[in-house]
Amino acid sequence: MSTEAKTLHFVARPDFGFEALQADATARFGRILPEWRGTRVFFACGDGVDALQAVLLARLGDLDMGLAPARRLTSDVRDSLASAGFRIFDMASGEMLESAQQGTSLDVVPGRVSMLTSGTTGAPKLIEHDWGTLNTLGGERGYPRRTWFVPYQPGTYAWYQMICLWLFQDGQALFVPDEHDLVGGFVSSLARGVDAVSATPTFMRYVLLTTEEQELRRAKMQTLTLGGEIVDQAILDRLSHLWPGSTLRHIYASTEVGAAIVVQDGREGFPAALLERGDAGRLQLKDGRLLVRSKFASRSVSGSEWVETGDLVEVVGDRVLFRGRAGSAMINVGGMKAFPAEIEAALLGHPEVLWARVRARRAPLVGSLPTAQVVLTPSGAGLSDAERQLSDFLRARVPDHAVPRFWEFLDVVPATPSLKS
Amino acid sequence: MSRIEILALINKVLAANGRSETRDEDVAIRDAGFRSLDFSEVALRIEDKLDRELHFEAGSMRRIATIKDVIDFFENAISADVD
Repeated sequence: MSTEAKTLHFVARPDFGFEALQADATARFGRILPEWRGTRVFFACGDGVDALQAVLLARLGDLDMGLAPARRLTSDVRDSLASAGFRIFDMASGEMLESAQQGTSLDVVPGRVSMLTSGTTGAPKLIEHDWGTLNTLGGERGYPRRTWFVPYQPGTYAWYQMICLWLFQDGQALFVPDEHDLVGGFVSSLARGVDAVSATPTFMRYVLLTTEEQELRRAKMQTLTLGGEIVDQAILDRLSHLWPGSTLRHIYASTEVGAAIVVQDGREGFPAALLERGDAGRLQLKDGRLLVRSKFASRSVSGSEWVETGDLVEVVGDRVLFRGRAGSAMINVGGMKAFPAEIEAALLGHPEVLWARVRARRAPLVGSLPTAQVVLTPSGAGLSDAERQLSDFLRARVPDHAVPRFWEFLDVVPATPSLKS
Repeated sequence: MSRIEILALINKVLAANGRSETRDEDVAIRDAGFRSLDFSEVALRIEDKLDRELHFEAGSMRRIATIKDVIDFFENAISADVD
């Protein structure tokens, strides 16, 4: 850990700087810390304070651990953690939680960090990292001094990325908002020194929808990192227009593969040239799917191993563009293919569209028809005949069969707890 | 649903997809630019309106040549389901 004093701002607990956090963690749990060594312990956290204290304890005790908000630990999840050998410690009550199956720690690896995936495509999986695979900036020196807004849910891969930046790089401060008001927290953080944010495109769209642009423009934003879902040209353009002096990058990462691609040229997708190194490189295309190998991959994957990401990509000119997840990425419209990610990206190119989601609707005769949910920008909310205008706009950009037949206009961007949509 | 309402739905779908509305029921579906995707969309809009699924007979679908045939087809499908 860096020796420089760490800076921390908890909106919910303004009295809690780094020293107070560490002192409190030691006072609360220092006595039982030795009991956790030689076991696998999973921390059920009430809030962001608990989560950061769990990290500090894990570092102090070189623990084999994981953490998540207590509300995510349903009885099913608790049972699957127990069957992996975990005992679950409730930070709020300071007691071990019982589960149907009691954890038996057969295989304990000090320094291992286990995390639950979001579970959007089924039951949450347990992915294992360590502080080495999580510290993706480990080799870099002189990272500019920044105060980061942390919107992510504790215990997720993206959250650990922020925590590692804070732990292992000098001059990095964190601003931890009240998780019940992330957007309000973000806006107020801008007046309190936050000059960097890492977030999903959905979160930034939510901010753009609910906040006056003038208010955002006043912020001295230096670094913006997008990831967690497909990053489209429209959101890159909007943010670079909003904060023209900032460094805007997008990252392709997953809990299993780790951080694999960082793009900083302001364009969606990544350069096709990155595919050309073949077996000597880190990225490959096979049957339209992206294969990745990364030294930051989880412990179940060796750094030299190619991982099939399940993400569909397409080479368009000098660029590789993401087209969604294999299996759910394609709509069959009467035998013709339509890709929701491509249609969404085209829609987001309309100046009055802030967010879009395209899905299939089962339909007689042709199998499926595309449908769209859209959130218009505040200035576009009064767009007359939006359905017709957006259909005409799309017809110039995607094949006719890919133009949605049913439209729903929403007032807000629907975001999941992992800030994706 | 009446024939007028079905024709109105057909015209709504044609217009939304950048084609001209038609008042002449005898016009060939090809000339009206009414395609299988449009047919499918009209079927779903009728289902939405009636709040029930329609059942189609593939044989009678193959005999469709004009806009009148389309209206006849849906009129039959709606009444068949009611029986």
